[in-house]
Amino acid sequence: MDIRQETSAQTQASTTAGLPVAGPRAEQRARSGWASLSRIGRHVAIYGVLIVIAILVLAPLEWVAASSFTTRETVWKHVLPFSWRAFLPDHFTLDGYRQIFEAGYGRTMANTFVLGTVTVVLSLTVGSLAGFTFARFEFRGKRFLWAVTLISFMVPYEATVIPAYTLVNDLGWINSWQALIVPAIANGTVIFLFRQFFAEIPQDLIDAGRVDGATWPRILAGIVLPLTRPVIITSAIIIFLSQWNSFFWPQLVAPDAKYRVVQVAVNILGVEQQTSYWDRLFAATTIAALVPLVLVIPLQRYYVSSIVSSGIKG
Amino acid sequence: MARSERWTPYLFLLPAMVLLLFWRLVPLAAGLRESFYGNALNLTTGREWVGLDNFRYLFDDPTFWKSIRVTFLFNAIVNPLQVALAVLLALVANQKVRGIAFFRTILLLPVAISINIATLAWGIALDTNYGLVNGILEAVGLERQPFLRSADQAMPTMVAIVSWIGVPFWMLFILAGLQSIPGDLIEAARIDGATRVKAFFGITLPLLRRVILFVLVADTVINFTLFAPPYLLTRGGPSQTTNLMMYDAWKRGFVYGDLGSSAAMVTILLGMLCLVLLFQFAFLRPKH
Amino acid sequence: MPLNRTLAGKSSRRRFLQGAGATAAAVAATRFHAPAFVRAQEKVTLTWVSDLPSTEDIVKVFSEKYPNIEVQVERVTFREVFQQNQTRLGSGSDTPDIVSVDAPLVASYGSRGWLSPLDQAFTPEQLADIVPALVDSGKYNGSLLAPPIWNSSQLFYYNLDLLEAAGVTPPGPEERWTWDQVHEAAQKVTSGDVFGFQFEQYNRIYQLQPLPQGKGAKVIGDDGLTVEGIINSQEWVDAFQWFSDIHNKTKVAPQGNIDINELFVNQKLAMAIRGPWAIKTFMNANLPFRWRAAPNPYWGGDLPVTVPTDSWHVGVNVNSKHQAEAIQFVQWITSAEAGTFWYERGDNWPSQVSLLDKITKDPANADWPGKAYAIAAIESGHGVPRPLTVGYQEYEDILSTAFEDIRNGSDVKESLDNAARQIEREMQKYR
Repeated sequence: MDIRQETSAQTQASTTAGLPVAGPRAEQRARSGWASLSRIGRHVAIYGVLIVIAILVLAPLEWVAASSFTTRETVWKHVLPFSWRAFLPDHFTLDGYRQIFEAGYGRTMANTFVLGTVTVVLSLTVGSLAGFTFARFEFRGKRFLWAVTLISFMVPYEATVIPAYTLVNDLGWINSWQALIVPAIANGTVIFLFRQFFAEIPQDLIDAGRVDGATWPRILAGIVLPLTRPVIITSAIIIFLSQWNSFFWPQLVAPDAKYRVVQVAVNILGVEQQTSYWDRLFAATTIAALVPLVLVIPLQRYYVSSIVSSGIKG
Repeated sequence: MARSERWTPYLFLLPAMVLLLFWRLVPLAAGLRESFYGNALNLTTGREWVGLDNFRYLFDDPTFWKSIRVTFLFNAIVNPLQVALAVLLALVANQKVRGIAFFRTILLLPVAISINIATLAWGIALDTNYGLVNGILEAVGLERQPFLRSADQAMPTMVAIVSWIGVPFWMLFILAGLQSIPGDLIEAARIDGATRVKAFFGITLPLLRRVILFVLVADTVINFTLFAPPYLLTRGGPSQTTNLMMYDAWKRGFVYGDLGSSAAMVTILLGMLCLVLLFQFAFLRPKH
Repeated sequence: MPLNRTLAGKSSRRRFLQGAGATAAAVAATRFHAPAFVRAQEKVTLTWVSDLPSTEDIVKVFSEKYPNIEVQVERVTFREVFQQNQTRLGSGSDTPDIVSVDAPLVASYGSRGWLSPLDQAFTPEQLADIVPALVDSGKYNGSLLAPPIWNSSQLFYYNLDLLEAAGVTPPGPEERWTWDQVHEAAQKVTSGDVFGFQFEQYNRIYQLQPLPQGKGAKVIGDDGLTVEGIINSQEWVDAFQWFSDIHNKTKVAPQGNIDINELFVNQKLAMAIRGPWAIKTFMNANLPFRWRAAPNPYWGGDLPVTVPTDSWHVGVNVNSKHQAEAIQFVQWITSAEAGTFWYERGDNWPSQVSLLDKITKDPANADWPGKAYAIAAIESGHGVPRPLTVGYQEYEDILSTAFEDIRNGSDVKESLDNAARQIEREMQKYR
């Protein structure tokens, strides 16, 4: 039940966040004036560090976003020589966005959304079946097949790109949707997450179903799956993000503009064209970065807890 | 019913196993096999078995050795650095102060953004001519820096860019590890008079050992096979100082059309990675 | 198929069915060398991987003339053209039917057996209209594999206002400056964030090769493989010392990744070497300053004048199932008709002698800005294509890194020595 624990630990952390320092130690130390001074000092130090880190994280993102709302002539106006106004659009305009959408960025985004969604559905189906089997069945060759799964998800993806490309080419799948979807369906992390989850479901629940004479697919669909909301959300985020964020594979197997996905489009604007169309590049980058953020931030509870539990247990 | 059920697990596993086999293991095996062939792209001669020629060819190549050195140096810096910073960041993010939840959300931003985008954005920010960072440096009275265009600075710059994503990501794992340590343990030590630092090294760090090992191993796998930053920003330069092995392998395969030595390079890379991981396990595994 | 034959001619509907059957049979038969007349009936779709502007439009013009052939463009980026060719042709794929071949790669593709010979497809008269150097670039082992569809030339552009303000007397439209004159003028103009001079392709052998060639040096051995003692010869070192100086010593040329068009148009760069494609860009941009063009600089005296030239060629995939149609397409796309279409769009520089002649004599090009076209056409006469070598990818990639290193201040001799050693190594496999 690790997933639940992590989640509750998180909620707890955020609910107690309002109190300065919790626990008996704090009360003990608060008795002496020196201690409270050092407590203030500690808070100043902590907030100092937090602010510096937050700036390091936010500044480049904010700069990119701000630059996307200005004209290409004014993008660099406050950068060299630098003034803080570099972090605000100089002349507010949506021109960069208008241009990329006229050049087909909408289609590119739609491509990526559809691609991500289809992969999520297929991957969850395949992954939940496999995870359930590994968690709930005893069968000959189980350890071997589990080892195969582990190895295949530990092999770095980059190392297999070139031969996988050759395979796509041999199948005649260059410039096709299946080249983008099929290799991404079986995802070791997802199988792993589902296995962890199913292993923690009380056996009684399943036994009850078996006694009622339900078949395995019915048990899976009727009893187990409804409980799996957290693991489904996490897996869906992981897969959707991996499709949204992938650029090397799509550029390799589906270079035709018809199949263009977001990262490839950004890459083309940023690297290939040595472009002076900074407004377009920044606009495309902002959208490409914003979508994952919109997805992850509201669902961070699920994302963080499950991704971490796979690490802690693995 | 019992008989048909004997096949149920295999049936359920079939799609996943077939796909893993086809798209992960077969390419892996095909890559290893390709290391022993030459002339893969030549339709006149056809692919031919060349034994260890591709490996000999590489061992004889100063570029290859430089690439190995660069890859090891990069990893020797980036992995310990990211783990150490991730631990420090987790300690900060674990402080129970007002607004910490908001701060943790901020730390999630680099995690969700692709390495492609992060690399590009930092590439522009660090640009010699237009860069934001150079603008700020000048504003505070410092000299402009060449960053990715200098043989001395390119590698450290790349370490910094990669860590911008890596440190907050691995922090998530270590933070979870921290939160799973019972608070009483540290309380007890503190009441016994241990300083914060002592309590950290005496209690917290040993208990984090398992998760740190996981993070180190996973981070090593990622950074040994790192590709995007040299591909997008430096093309291995200047003077081959960022010519990481994965990028060099790509270049040999896709630019020079030499699939054999490209595959041999990946084979060597994977072999080295296995050795490094074994080494990490042997020295860092919790004793019990 | 025999069954279809017996049913033929009974009614129009039957005839239609028969046609459909024949098409299906022909599709199956093309694998086994179907006679051309059968295929002339059917609609054939050819694929073409390209990054060139207006490609989609020009194939429509073609299909209007040859309604039975449709050409589908797989639009990719410049870098991906090479990647796609390499992996798809190398694995024996039957697509793309039409192969975009960068001029210096003809030898590489030819040596790997990727392209169908086209000697039969072109009459001597057709070839006579193509710039001779480009016909040579299109050949490997004496066989024509890929005729040119594009060409290129280079010009020395300058911002007249900036030069005059700096007290520099600019070159006239027929006056060829020396590189040292360029450097001197650049130093006068450079100030603040205004730079004096830069090449548009500051790290590619294509635009930089006049530097060593202008000193009488070769860029590759006669065997098309040797570079040791050639690209690190004294001439090369001298030429690239100049290149290093403008970046590192006098700093008149900007370092880093830069967009020459952006700098020039915004008056941050006074002089630049660029292709004739810039002319239309400048004309369309309504620039707030006067710009002019002059012949390409050289090293002065009796030293040779060489100008970068060559561009894209097209060939036919040796495994294409539509050889006849693909050849028809290549014949048309390399003709003066197609060249004119592209030239009028402002996209390319033609490879046909007749067209270049027309540009030189066009009265519209007697004065600025059209005059720039006339200069470019004359400069084409000094054109020297990129080196013909089977290892061009390696050659270019390694030299590019060396040029970048030199721009960043690395020692010239050392960088060129390193590049020579690396290229020699990669060339081993072709010996």
